[in-house]
Amino acid sequence: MTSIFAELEVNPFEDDVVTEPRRVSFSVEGLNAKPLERLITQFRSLTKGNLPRQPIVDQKAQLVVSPDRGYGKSHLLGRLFQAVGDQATLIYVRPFQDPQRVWTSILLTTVQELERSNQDGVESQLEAFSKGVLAHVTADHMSDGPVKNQPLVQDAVKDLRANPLTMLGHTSKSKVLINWMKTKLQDQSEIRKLASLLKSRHVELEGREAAWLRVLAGYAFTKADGQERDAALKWLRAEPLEEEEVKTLKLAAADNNARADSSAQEINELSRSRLKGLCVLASYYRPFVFCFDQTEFYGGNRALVDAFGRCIWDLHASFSNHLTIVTANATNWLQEVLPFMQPAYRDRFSAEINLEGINVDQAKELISKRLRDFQVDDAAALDFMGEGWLDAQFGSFAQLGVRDLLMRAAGRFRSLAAPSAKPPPRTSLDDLYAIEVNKIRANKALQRYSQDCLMWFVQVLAEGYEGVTVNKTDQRYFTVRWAWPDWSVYFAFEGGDHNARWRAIARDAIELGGPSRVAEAIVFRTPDLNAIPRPTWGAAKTVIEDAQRKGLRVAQLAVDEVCQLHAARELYSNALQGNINYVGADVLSWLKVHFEPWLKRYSGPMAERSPSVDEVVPIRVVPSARSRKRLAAPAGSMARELTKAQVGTVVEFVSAKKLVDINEVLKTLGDDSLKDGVLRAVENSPNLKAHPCPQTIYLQWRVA
Amino acid sequence: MAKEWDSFKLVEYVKAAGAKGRTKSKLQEKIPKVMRSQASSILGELKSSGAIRGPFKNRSDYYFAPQFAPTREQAEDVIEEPLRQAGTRLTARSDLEKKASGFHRTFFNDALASLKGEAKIVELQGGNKTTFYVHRDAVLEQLRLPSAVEPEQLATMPVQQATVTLDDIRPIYNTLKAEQGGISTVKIYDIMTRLGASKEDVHRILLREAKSGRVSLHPASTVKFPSDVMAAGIRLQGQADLLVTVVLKEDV
Repeated sequence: MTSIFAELEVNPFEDDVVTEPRRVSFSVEGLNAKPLERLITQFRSLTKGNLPRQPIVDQKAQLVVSPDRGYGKSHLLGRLFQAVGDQATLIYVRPFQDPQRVWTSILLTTVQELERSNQDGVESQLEAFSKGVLAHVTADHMSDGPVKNQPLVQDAVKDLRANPLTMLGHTSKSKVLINWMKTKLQDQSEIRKLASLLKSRHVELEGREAAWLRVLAGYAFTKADGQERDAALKWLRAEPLEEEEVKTLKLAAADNNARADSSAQEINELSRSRLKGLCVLASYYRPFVFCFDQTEFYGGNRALVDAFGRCIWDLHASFSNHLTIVTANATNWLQEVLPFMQPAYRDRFSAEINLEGINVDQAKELISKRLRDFQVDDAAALDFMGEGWLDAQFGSFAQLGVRDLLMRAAGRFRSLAAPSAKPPPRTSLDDLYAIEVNKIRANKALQRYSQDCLMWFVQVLAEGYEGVTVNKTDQRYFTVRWAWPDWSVYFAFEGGDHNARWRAIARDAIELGGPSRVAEAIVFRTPDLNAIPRPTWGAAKTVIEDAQRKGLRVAQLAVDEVCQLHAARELYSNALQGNINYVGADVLSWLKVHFEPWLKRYSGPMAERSPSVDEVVPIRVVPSARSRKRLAAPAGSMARELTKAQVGTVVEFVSAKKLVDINEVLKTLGDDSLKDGVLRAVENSPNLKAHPCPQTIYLQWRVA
Repeated sequence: MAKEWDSFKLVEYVKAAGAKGRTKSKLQEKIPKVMRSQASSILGELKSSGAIRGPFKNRSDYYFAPQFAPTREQAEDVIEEPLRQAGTRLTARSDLEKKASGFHRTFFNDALASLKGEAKIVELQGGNKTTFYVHRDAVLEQLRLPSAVEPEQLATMPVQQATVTLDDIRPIYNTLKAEQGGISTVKIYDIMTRLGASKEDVHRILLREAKSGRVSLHPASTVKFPSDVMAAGIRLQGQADLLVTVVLKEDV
């Protein structure tokens, strides 16, 4: 038995934290079945009756409570995603950082989540949502028209309502329908009719009904990389559009209501309005499911708790067609959240949905499944749990926390794999961090621009660095300041690429720097955003370049750096949630030291900095140089996708090996730079799973 | 403008700063020029009405909204947590003082005295007149006092007359659950205190019922409870975490 385990390079039980609910692939029969049932029942109350429905409001946030860490909060969300995935629009919300920009953060997350793939094979949730809404609006229009009694029209209405995604798919029949719809959306009198149809169903969009329909059509009926789609996404994110983008979407000038010179509060308010619009439009298609996970992050920060409470209160009072779920550890909720939340906000949460532990029979099922996934046969699995080991784990208790069980099983695995080895020391923060970096690297969706993460870096990680005072400013864009007696660095958080806004940012940066250059102004950009200045800009480019000479810095982060930064916040959040064996304060201290090169890089005047501004400074990820080399990604570049043939090679190689180091796969492909491409292929394959470890990533073959 | 000015605006301004507070000079700037000479008395009035707290010294004088003001309890946490983390390692007073930076420094001596008074920490003298501190949990653990019990032993101890039953606990548990907004994870300490029963009796019944699945017992891995709450917890041999909360199952 020992030799079987000794041969495995990955401990099957060490993966004991769900970072990404969409990756949940297995659940033990009966475990937390009741909480899941309650959530599904609550969701069903939003899908009663035929589409389109009246907007459904007054849904309290469902509060899922775990008695301690490791009872499966995020796993439960994953199971809910599986259960309602093709009937809901699923939004997983990580903690926001700025109490004044809650809606900006949630909207950005929502649009990013909308762009993620859908269970029913449609490219993205947003494509399904927009096609679904447009199909039902069209059906309404047809049912209201002069030829509504024609059998052909009645059949088309039925088809549109029953199969909106197929009807607006890629068939020749669909093309005719789509062209017909596009014509209607360009005709002022027709669009007024369509808008009035929305109103007749109580879908109120603050007078922007026509704009919403055109934006949804701009996304639904165009190619993935097209300008129309890009413009539609910007409008949804409450970003201002350039003139040509307004024309592309055929919007009225007034519909471009995100102004270039908006303050953070105004952007937040418009973001709320956009989110409200998406929710009310869900009357025509799939309701939203908003999942607020990792709420331990807000604990102890009164302003964040208050903002979180207000957000849930507002969702309950003003937003329709959504199920909001909040997860929490009981003690954190009671000690660090509830005491600081206004009574009016507390009333917007449901009675608790309490998670339960795993019992002996369920534990057997879970352990067997984990071992089977690694080709360990049933006899060896029985031996693993035999000799009274499993019963001894439960001892005096009928149930255990799932993570507790997995941790004990991981210990059992280690002792069987290497009986004479001493118990390993607590996993170091270096290794935990490196694992987290690899987890982010293995998941493209986690590498996208996150203003919350950047704010966390400049506000929390910078605190205490070299006598800096970190404060919020009253500036329109540069809202955070690192201040020293004779030097300041300001930070703005702008993910958009509107030239007027960037001109204003540039002017503010020049003003902050002043004639004697007492300050510098930094705006971070991530690889998924358009480069600034854009090549087509004229006057704006000149202004920005002038500002760059006078202290504006557009700090372009490489993929590798984004992974490191996002991993840092995730690691800290893991500590707060009790997912790792370190307290939050210790992790924060460690991260502050670890990120000192970053702080140094961004705190000094540009002229004194070495290496130069836009050069990527190698950041220490793990202690050894070898590991650093392995973790390094091509600076500033997005991953190269594999060709079909290369994907085939990866699948064939991993299926033959069953469990293999990604570096061996890269050797087989003959190109070390394809690491991110391989990881994208793994993400897209139901048979492949990535196991991030400190030094590398193992790829596992699984029978889907 | 001065006539329209309401000192409530000042309170809102302080509140908006949250835990960072506002300096006296910033507050003075918010007072209309014609009234600025009365700044001290305006701040004094707001302070005595409880609308703001301060001044707290940290280079400048800072004022806070009551809910964000630094407290002695916070300073206690700043001292207690590193001592708890240090285990049996002794921590010098000077090292503790370094932890209490910023506004916590104001409360450092009071917080230290309070923690000593409540026997949460133990003060020791070194040979060179250095004062050291250690957390009481580390001492209790070394002495194996008295919460380190074999659960099997405790759960199978003979039940004596007039001892605690689950029926005694349930109404108290339900009240506590209602008081905390329906959250069913309740502190063993709260049950013990309300019930007025001995720790051993409460532990015995909880362990017995945990075996039958009628209750579940949990550590509190993600928050820091005061030492008296921790002291009421159940320590199982071979396990690092104290079990400090309980959930009573409704349908078992």
